[in-house]
Amino acid sequence: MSQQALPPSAVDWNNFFNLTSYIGLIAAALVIGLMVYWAINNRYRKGRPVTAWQGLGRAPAREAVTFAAISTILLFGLAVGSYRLNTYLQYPPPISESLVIDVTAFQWAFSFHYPNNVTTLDECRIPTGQPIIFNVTSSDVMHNFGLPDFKVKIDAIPGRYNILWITAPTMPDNSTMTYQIRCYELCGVGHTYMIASLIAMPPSEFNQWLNSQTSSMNMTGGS
Amino acid sequence: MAYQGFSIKRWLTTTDHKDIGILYIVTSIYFIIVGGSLAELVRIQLAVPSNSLLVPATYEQTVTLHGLIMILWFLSPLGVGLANYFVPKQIGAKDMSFPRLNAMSYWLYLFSGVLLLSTLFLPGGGAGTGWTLYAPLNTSLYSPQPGVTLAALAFAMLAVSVTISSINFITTILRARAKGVTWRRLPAFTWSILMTNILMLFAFPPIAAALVLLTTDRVLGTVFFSSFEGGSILWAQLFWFFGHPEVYIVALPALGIMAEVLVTFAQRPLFGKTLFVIELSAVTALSIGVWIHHMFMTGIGFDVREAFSLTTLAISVPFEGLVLNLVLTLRKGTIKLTTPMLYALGGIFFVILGGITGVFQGFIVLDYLFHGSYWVVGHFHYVMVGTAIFGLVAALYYWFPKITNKMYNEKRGKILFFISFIGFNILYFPYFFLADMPRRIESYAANPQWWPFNLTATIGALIFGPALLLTFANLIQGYRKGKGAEANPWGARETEWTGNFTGAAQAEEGVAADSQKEVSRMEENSPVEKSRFTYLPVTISVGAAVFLTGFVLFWPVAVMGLGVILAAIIQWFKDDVRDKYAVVKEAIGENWPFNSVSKEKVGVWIFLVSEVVLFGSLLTAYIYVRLRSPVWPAAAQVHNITIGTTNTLILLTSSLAMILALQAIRSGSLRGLKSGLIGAFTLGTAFLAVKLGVEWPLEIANGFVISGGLAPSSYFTLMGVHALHVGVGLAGMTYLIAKAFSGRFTAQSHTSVELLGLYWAFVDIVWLILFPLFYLV
Repeated sequence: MSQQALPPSAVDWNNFFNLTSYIGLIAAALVIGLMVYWAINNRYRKGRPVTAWQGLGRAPAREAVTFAAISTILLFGLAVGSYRLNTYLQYPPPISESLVIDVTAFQWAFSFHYPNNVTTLDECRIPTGQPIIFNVTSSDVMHNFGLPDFKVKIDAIPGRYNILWITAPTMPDNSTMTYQIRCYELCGVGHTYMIASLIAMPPSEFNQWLNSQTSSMNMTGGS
Repeated sequence: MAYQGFSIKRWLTTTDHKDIGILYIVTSIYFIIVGGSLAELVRIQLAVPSNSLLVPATYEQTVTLHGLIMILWFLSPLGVGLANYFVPKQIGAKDMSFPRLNAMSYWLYLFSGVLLLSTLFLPGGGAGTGWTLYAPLNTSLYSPQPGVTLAALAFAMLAVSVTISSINFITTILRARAKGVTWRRLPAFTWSILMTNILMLFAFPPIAAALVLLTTDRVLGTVFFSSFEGGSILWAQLFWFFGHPEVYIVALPALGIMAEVLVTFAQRPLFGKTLFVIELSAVTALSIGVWIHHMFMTGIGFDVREAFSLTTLAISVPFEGLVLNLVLTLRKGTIKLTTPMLYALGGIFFVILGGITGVFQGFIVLDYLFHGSYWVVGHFHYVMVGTAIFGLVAALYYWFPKITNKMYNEKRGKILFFISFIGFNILYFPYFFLADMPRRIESYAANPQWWPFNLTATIGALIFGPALLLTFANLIQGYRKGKGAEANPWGARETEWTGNFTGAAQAEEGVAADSQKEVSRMEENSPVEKSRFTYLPVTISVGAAVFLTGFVLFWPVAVMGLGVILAAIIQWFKDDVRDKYAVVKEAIGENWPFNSVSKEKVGVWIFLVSEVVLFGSLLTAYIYVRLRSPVWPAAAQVHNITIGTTNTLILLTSSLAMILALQAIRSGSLRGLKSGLIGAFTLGTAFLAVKLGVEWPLEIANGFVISGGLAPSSYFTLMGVHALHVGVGLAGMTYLIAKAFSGRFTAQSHTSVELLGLYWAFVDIVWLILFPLFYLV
C-alpha cells in the first residue's frame, strides 16, 4: 500500500506509534546502556578497591523527584495525544454522511447488514471516501471485529452494540482494494478461520453493486 | 538441615518452612516442564503457515493449559517456594506463623495442579477457552465438556491455597521478626514478598467469586455468564480485577530477588532502599486500579477507559523507579559477574523492554491495533518469562549454596545463561513485528507474510526451552556432585546469610556474637521434632481433590471426599485439644504495630479481609446484573419478609449469645461460656434450618427456582455462600463446645473463642448487608 492510500486511522496510528517508539527506544537505550556500561566497567578486577559500604546515607529524593517529573511529563504529554486520537475514533461523523452497517459475529463468521436490508456473509463491500459506521454485536460468544490494515478493532459481545468507524482511502487509480477482517478474540475451535474480507470500491461501483443486490433480493422475494 | 536419607513419610508430613519451600520449588519446576512442553508444541505448530500437528480443539486446549500452568502453577508458586524458605530466614523467624496451614497451602496447590492436568484426560478434553476463560465461551452451552468445570474448580482450589498462604506470609512478616529486624531493616526480598501477598489477598477472592458463579452456572443452571446483563463484561471485570494484579504478583518477587542479587554482587547497598520500598508500595496500590486496560476494546464508557489509561501510565512511574534503583546500585559497585548476577542483569534488561512495551498498550489508540495480537504476547512474555523466570533462576543459583550446602558448576551456568538470553530474544522479539497477527490461532495460511517471524520465533523456542531444561539439570548436577560450599560463599551481607539481625555496625563491635549464637541454636533445634509432623494437610487436600472430581463427574465420590475432609478436620481439632502438635513459639522481637495482638488474631483479621473481598465481589456481581436488568421481580413478591426478618433476629441473637459467651470466659466463668456457646449454636442452627428447610422450599414451590433467571440465580448463590459460612461457624462452635466441656478454657487462655467470635460477627454483618439488598429493595 502506498502512503497516500493509507486509511486516515492508520496514518494517525503510525504517527503516534513512531513518536512513542522514539521516546521508548531512547529511554530503553539509555537505561540498558548505563547498566551494561557499569556492569562491564565496574567489574571486579584484582586490586580494584571496593567502595565503602556506608556511602549512601542520604535518600536520593531529589533525583527521584526529577526523574518522576520528567517521565510524568513525557507520559502525560503522550496521553494527551492519545486522548485526542481516541476521541476522534470514538465519535463517528453524523449518520447522514455515513453508511451504517450492522455487523453480527457468530461462530465462526461475520454477517453484514446494510440499511436497505441487504445481508452478506463474510464479505463486506464499502464505498471509498465515505465514513462507514459498523454497529458490531455477536449472537453467541464474545468475538472481535478487527481491521488490522485500518489499525482498529472492537469487541463483538452478545447483547451489546459497539461502534467502530472507518474511512477507506480512495486508491490513486480508482481501483478496488480488499482488506482482511479477522476475529481477535478466542471464540472456539473455528477462531483461526474466522476471516472475512472488506472490499473498498469506488462509490459508483458500490452503488451499482448494492442496487443489484437489492433488486435480486426483490426478485427472490427476500425480506 | 542435615536430614539423613530420604523418607517419603517426612515429605508427606513435614510442616517445616524449609521443607515446604523445597516442595514448592520442585513442584513448580515440574509444572514449568509441563507448561514449557506445551509451549514448544505451540511453537512447532506455528513454525509453518499450516501444520497438522495439532487439530484446532487440541491447539486451543494446549494454549489454555499452557497459560494457566505457567502463570498460576509455575511462576507464582516458585516465588512462594523461595519465600517459604527465605522469608523466615531473612526476618529471623523460626518458622512461618502457621506451619500446618503452610503445609496445607502446598498440598492444595499440588493437588489443584493434578486436577487441572487431569482435565486433559476427561471426555471432550480440558478447557479450550484461553487462560482468561472468557464468557460466554466458558458456559456449558459453548464448552459442554466436564473438563472446563473441573479446571474452574482446580483454579478455585488454587485460590484457596494462595489465600491461606498469603494470610500466613503477612502474619509472619508482621508478627515474627527477630529483634533488630525493624521495618527499616526489612530486606528487599521480604518487602517484595509482603507486597506480593497483600496483592494476592485482594486479587484471589474476586477470581474465586467469579469461579463460584461460573460453577453454579455450569452445574446448577444459574445464568450469570450466559445472560446479556452479566455475560462477557461481568466475567471480564471480575477476571481482570484478579488478572492484572496477578502480573505484579509474578513480577514483584523477581524484582525483590534482583535487588538482593545486585546488592551482593555489586557489593553496594541498594540505591535508595527507602525509595525502593515506597515505589514497591505505590506499584502494589496502583496495580489494583488498572484492570480496565484489558478491556479497552469492549466498548465500555469512553471516560472510564481514559481514566484507566491514565492510571496505567501512572503505575509506570514508580515501576520505572524500581528499575532505576536497581541499575543505579551498579554505579559505584565492584561487580562480580557470577551466574546469578548475569541472570539478574538479564532480568533487568527484559523488564525494561517489557515495561516500555507495556506503556505502549496503555495508550488506548495504540491498543486499537495491539489488543489480542502477538504484540501483546511479546510484551507479556518479556515481563513474565524474561523478568520473572530470569529473576527466579537468579534466585535458584544465588541461594543454591544456602539450600544445598553445595556449589553448582559456574562455567556451565554462565554458558547456559548466554544461550538462554539469546534464545529468549530470538523467540520473543519477532512478536513485536506481528502486531496484526491474532493470538491463539493455529494456522496462518491466509497471511504468509507472518511466516519468517514465526519461524524465527520457533527457532528461538528450540534454543530457549532446552537451555532452560539444562539449567535445571545443571542445578541437579550441582546438588548431586557439586563441591561443598562455604556458609556464605558470596560474602553476602543480608540476614539470611549472616544470621545477624541487629545491623552491620553492631557486628563490628562484636554484639552480633550473641545473635549468631542464637541463630546457631535455632538451626540445631530446627530438625523437625516428631510432633511437628502431620498427615492432616495432605489428607485434607487429597479429600478436596476427590470431592471436586466427584462433584463434577460422579456424586457418590464427592461424598467420599467430603467424608475424608471432615474426618481430617475433626482429627485436627482433636490434636489441638490434646496439644499433640508442638506450636512454634514466636521469637520475641519486632512486631510493631502489632505488639499486643496475638498472631492468631492477626491471621483471622487478614482472613476476614479476604472474606470481605470475596463477598464484595459477589455483591458487586449481583448489583451489576441487577442494575443492568430491565425488569427485576419485586422483593415482596418472591420473598417472605416475615420469615426473613425472623431469621435476621435469630442470627443477631446468636451473635449476642456469642458475645455473652466471650464475656463470661473473660471473667473466668466456664459455665457462662458453655451456655453462651450452646445458645449461639442453637440459634445458628435454627437460622440454617429456617433458611434451608422452610424458606427455600416455599420459594421454590412458588416457582422461584435457581435456574429461573438472574434474580433467583443471585439470590440462591449469595445466600448459599452465606449459609456455607454459617455452617463453617457452627462447625467451629462444635469444637469450642467440646473444648469448653473438657474444661480447657480459662480467663487467660481462650483465644479460639475470641477468634470464632470475630468470624461469627463477620458472618452476621454480611447477613445485615444481604438482607436489605434482597428482601427490602
